[in-house]
Amino acid sequence: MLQLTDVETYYGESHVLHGVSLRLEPGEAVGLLGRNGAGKSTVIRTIVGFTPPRSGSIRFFDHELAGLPSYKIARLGIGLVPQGRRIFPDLTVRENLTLAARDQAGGWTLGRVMDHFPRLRERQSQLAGTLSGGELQMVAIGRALMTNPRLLLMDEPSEGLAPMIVREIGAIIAELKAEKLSFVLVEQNLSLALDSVDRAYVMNKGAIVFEGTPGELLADEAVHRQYLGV
Amino acid sequence: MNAQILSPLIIQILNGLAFSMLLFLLAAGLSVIFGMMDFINLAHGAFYMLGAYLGLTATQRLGNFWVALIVVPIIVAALGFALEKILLRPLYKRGHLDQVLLTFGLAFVVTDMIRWIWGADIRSVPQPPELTGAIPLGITAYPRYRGFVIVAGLVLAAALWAIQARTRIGAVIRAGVADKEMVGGLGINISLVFACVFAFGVGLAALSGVIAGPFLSLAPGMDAEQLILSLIVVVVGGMGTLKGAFWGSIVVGLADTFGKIYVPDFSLMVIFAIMAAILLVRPNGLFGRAVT
Repeated sequence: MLQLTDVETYYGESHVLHGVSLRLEPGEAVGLLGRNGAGKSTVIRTIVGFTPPRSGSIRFFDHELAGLPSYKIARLGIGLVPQGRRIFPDLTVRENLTLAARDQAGGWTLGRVMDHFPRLRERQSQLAGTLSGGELQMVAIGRALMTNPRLLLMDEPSEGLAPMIVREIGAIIAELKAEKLSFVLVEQNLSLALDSVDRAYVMNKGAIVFEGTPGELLADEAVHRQYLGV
Repeated sequence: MNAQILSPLIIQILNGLAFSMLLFLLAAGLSVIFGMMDFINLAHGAFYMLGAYLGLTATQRLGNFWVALIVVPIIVAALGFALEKILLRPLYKRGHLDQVLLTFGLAFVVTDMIRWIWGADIRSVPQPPELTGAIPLGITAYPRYRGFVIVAGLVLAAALWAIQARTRIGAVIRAGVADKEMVGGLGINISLVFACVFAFGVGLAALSGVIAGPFLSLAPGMDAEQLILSLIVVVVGGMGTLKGAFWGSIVVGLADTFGKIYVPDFSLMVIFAIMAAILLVRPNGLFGRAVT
């Protein structure tokens, strides 16, 4: 359903992605791993149109995404849980969730999101700026689900969270996977990522350097040491 | 205090508030446009002036101030919508200098066209007959039209607040002020939202001009004076917030009115001194969020 082919992305003059190709099948969960600065977030920003590619192609079902404005890309069914969460602080929790709601029969509704995140129901009238990091991450995931995406892109959902909260986020991701939602998960937290995905890509210096199942990745000492270890 | 001291004071406070309301209508648009798109619109004063002159002509031709009050802002808003699409949109990604140059030039074009069409004489708009005379206030009386300006300003401020705080489009605007890229990433056409906000803000500036017509006089230069004061309002109140635009307008409107009475030669300096004092205590303005 998603196919990146030879994507080259620049920030101004600096060349960040060097011929990235990756694919994702319907219902699949794919991890995107690598050290800080490897280009993982840039892949996400490129797909959603925040930083469009200079060349290469991004196919999503029958559509070419390269060059489309990001609101059109989102409307095609790509939900984003961005790095740093980027929740709107002056909106209430409920407003954050309903802002981008796109109803769809049998899809995500405010009620269903709040069933998944009971804490958000308690805090729905509170300004989002007053929430804790874990709660903000729940809003970020809930907000993306409310657009009823066919594909969810999650950029470091565990970033900056306490281990207990990370486990909670991991449980939520597992539920999404059980519901057969397709997603790309960018993570620094290797165990969270490998527990959650069917297949993983490892990036280094703006290029894909490994592709395989979590089992294959765990078995490959060299990749592990060279591109993931600290 | 006796009535001799009190009644001029009350009248000056009311005059200050009436002027504050005109400033608020201008600053509300300026502030949200700046907050949302990081766009400095120095043509905002020119749209205020255009509103005032179109209001003059509409009142004369149609013989009815109230029709002018509705029709003129709509015409100017439509003009703003078109200008945003054609001229301004390519500038959002450029620096402030380019924006300032283009909108300053646009202001000259608009004000010179006004001078060409209406001439450079000082003009005034007749007050609507319903609002001539004075409202008795016990120990004193106050011109009815200025009373109307205060009430209309407060009603509009309340309506704008309700739109911003209680509606979906208000939530989109608040979200856009905080993080417009992310709003786009959720599937909202933020460029269209901004074009509408720009047009609405320009319409409010024109509305301010129409309301100002029977109250202040119409002359070349009216745009620059009001633009400078409303820019100060935005700085004092904090960018991107209606609340800031409202209270900033009250501060600047009162300071301008009292400054002109007590220190007529230094009235603008009084306002700048107040602005500097507020910025020392609150660098982002009264209700501003830290700018990143």
